[in-house]
Amino acid sequence: MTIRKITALLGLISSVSVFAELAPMEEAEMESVTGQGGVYLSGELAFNKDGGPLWGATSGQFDEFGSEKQVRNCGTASEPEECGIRIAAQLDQGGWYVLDDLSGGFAFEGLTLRTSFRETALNYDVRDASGNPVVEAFNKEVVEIGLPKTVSLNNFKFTLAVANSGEWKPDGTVLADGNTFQQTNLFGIQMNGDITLKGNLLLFPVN
Amino acid sequence: MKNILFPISALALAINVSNVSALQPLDESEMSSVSGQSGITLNTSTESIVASQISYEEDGVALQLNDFSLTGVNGANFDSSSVIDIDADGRLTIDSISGSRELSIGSIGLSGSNKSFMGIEGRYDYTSKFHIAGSGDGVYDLSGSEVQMHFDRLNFTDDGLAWILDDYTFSVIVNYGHLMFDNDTMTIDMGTESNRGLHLGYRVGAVGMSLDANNPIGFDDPLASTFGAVSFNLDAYGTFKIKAGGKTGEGITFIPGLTLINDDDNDGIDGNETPAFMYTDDGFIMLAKDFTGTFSTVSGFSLDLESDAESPYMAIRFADFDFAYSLNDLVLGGTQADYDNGLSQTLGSFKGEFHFRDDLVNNRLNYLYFRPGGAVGNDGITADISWNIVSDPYVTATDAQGDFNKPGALNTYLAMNDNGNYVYFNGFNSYGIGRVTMDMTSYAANPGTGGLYGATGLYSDNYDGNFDGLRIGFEDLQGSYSFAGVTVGRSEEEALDAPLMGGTELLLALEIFPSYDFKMNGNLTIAAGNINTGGQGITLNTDLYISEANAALTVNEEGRGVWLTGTTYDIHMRNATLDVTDNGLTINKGLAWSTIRVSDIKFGDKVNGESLGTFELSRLEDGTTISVASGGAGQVCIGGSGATAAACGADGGRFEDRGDQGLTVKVRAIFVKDDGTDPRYAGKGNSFSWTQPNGTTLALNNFSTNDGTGNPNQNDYGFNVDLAIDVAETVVLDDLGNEVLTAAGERPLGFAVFGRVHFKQLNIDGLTLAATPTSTPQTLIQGIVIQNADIQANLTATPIR
Repeated sequence: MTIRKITALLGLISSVSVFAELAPMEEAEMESVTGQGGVYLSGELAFNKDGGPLWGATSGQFDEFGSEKQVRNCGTASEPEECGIRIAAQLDQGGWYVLDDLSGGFAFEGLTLRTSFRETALNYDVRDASGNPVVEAFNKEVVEIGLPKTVSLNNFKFTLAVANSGEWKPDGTVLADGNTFQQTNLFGIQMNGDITLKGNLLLFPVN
Repeated sequence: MKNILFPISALALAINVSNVSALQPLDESEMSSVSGQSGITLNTSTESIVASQISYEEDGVALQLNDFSLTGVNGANFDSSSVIDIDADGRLTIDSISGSRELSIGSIGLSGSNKSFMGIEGRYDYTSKFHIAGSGDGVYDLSGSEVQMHFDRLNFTDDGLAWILDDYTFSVIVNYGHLMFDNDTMTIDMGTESNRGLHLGYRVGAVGMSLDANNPIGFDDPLASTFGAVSFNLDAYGTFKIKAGGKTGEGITFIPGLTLINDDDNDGIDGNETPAFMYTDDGFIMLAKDFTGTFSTVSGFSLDLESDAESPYMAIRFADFDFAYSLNDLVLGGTQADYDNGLSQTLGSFKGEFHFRDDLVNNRLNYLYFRPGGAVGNDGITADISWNIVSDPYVTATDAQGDFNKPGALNTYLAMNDNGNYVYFNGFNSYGIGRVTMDMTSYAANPGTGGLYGATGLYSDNYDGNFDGLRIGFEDLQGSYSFAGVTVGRSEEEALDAPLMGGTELLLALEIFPSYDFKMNGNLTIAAGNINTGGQGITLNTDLYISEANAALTVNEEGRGVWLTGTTYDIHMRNATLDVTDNGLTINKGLAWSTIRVSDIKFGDKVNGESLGTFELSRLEDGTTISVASGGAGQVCIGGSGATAAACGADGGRFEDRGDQGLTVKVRAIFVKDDGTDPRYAGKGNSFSWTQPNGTTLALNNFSTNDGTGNPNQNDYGFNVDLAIDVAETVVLDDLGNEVLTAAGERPLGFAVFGRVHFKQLNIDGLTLAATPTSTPQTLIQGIVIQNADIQANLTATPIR
């Protein structure tokens, strides 16, 4: 059986609405996990919901240990905005790829986490006459993450950029190599609203 | 041995008194002071009492107190005065008061060994009242008796060093006490909850150390650094039986059926009660109010003196023992004034049960064997210990929603009440066996062979010297524990009848695992005083090596989940400290370095599960703090932002008020980098690698934090992990997306953990990939810089139904 591999960690989405051709989980499969432990999780995952510890949009802001934050405004002069997370990666000795101003959150009700034993799984490389993946013997222990149906995005946004420094610097800052700090924003993404995620994400090792 | 309370036939009480001074005649003024009293007044003024050895023998092994002496202070005699009387009702009363005197026991050991447990030195005085009335039916009434003993100093000595209790007082007041003899058993009846027999008081002004064998700290010398003040105030009721005969042969068996209680806050006025327990550290307090603890055993604690091929030992065994406690208020942090004015915050209330049972089938027994001599020097304690804590397996029940698993009847658990709601960590099982040693040690006496930075130096993995303080050594201490799961409820009954679920997974950031096997070697040395501030508190130094460890990341009741198996954990801390502060309890890890190596990340069971590969995490931290404070997440807005319900709702969020109780744990990790300027960091660092079963290795090299100012050495903010723990209502949806409510129309309760990771800057020097274990790693990413991060996960766990 061939299953999508991501190096040794395999994620099998057994039923996700965005892949309409995938079959929903069989009732028998659902019953096979009844009575086991696990948790039903509700809540949210949020990035820089109320700003971050390093930068304040205006002067006079302090981190929670009492030190004044540096000023970096990710809004406009008239409508200052706190900045999100900045992640910079240098692939070679040249410039830096930057995922900047990452902020916002995902709220959900009903993400489940449990361990289950799967006797069968869908083989996406073998299709039946209708084009659906066939069910094959599997017999593996998996960590099953039940997707929470509806996930609400709350002002989730980020900006992709390139820069000549891993650290953000105020405009005009001269770097150690003598160059002035430069960052070019390529594009930004902002998302609000709900997305639907149904089914389960199964995690298990493969060699 | 019959009809003997103490096994006199085996008791060889050998007191070789070398010098008992002649009793001094009372002078006229002393005589006058007792005039007018009834009964007999006995005043004594004694120069010294000296015994070369006092011994108690059982089955051929003797407990020996060597070089015993009782002397006056600074060469003076020590006085005591007793008034002996018989009341009209036939009750014998002996009221005594003593002057100050000095006690010395050179060593306490066992025959057949040239080592000793410890020596004892102290300067003390006492007052006592013994009231004894016989009823003629073998019952003696001790009600009205009391003893109070005060030590200016009480020293436990070990090879010339000492652990010192300063200004130590204990008192016992017998409000109701009946002594009964029945064949080979003496029973002390201490009343009932409504007629509590005893009041117990215990207070230590400060705890210090004497660390120079050539220049010991005297009774009048100041203590350089101290642990702080500790006090207990408890009532006791129930029974305590003492039975002749041990587990085998001669010996003694103690059978407590006791309750210790302090509910001295019934007036409802904060600060107007005596807490059950209080610790004061530089003016900041930790205290427990409204405590109840019950201790019971059927078979009792047997005490035997025995010997084996290694040495003689004192054995304490208990085939069964049940301990249950409840604590309605635990105050952590703040000052006495805060507490007196009702300004202290509480962590909520806690309760728990522990059930010890011998498992003869699997040879998991409960015992403590104490051998004279520790791991260092001639004196000290070596304890061979074994424990087996049990819970019944979960049981399956049925309700309107179908079958579910709930805790069994015999349930070892820990529970917390948060604003009226309960969370239980159920089905705790633990067993283990190994050796623990205790010694007083000194760095100056043994600084090791490697200096500070050598191969066996103070800042190496293989330090071979000692630290200052009480050294607790672990030798092949092998154990295991597991929890069956978490339950929540609006009452204790509801929580104990609720479906078991996961939830401890949310505490993994604190290295709390739902199941864990381990083998521990190494030592932890506890010193009085905060070495970094010079104030009170505790200083900790440790070199621990945990091996053969299996830790569950997530696991169900059947023990199946994701396991870290074949794990080793090498832990070193230098000058870590523990203090009570204004806000709670703070542990500063000092300079800490560690390496976790996981042989297999297994899915399924920990033996036969499939492996995801191995990983290794090395950490170097300097000044990392872990603080525990009262109060949980408080008011939260999920799915939006807003400090009020209206603002949160307007932003599309759901507002939850989780109350003012709960628990907050904050880890502020300061990851530092070996840049060659600090020799303590040499050869250490922060890195992570993952090797897949096929040998491919992904590695994160040299990660470290700084404050994002451009100065890499400014590193105060750190990598913070905050966890706020509550029991709170949450939204649960059914398969159709409809909200599920309880029969009472309320939202279900859940175990709520508000986790937050925040840091100013995290640098990673590179990400490398090696195709095989022998191939040269290729650099995928030269460097990663993450700035201004504040990531929050606000999760509430409820059972899957």
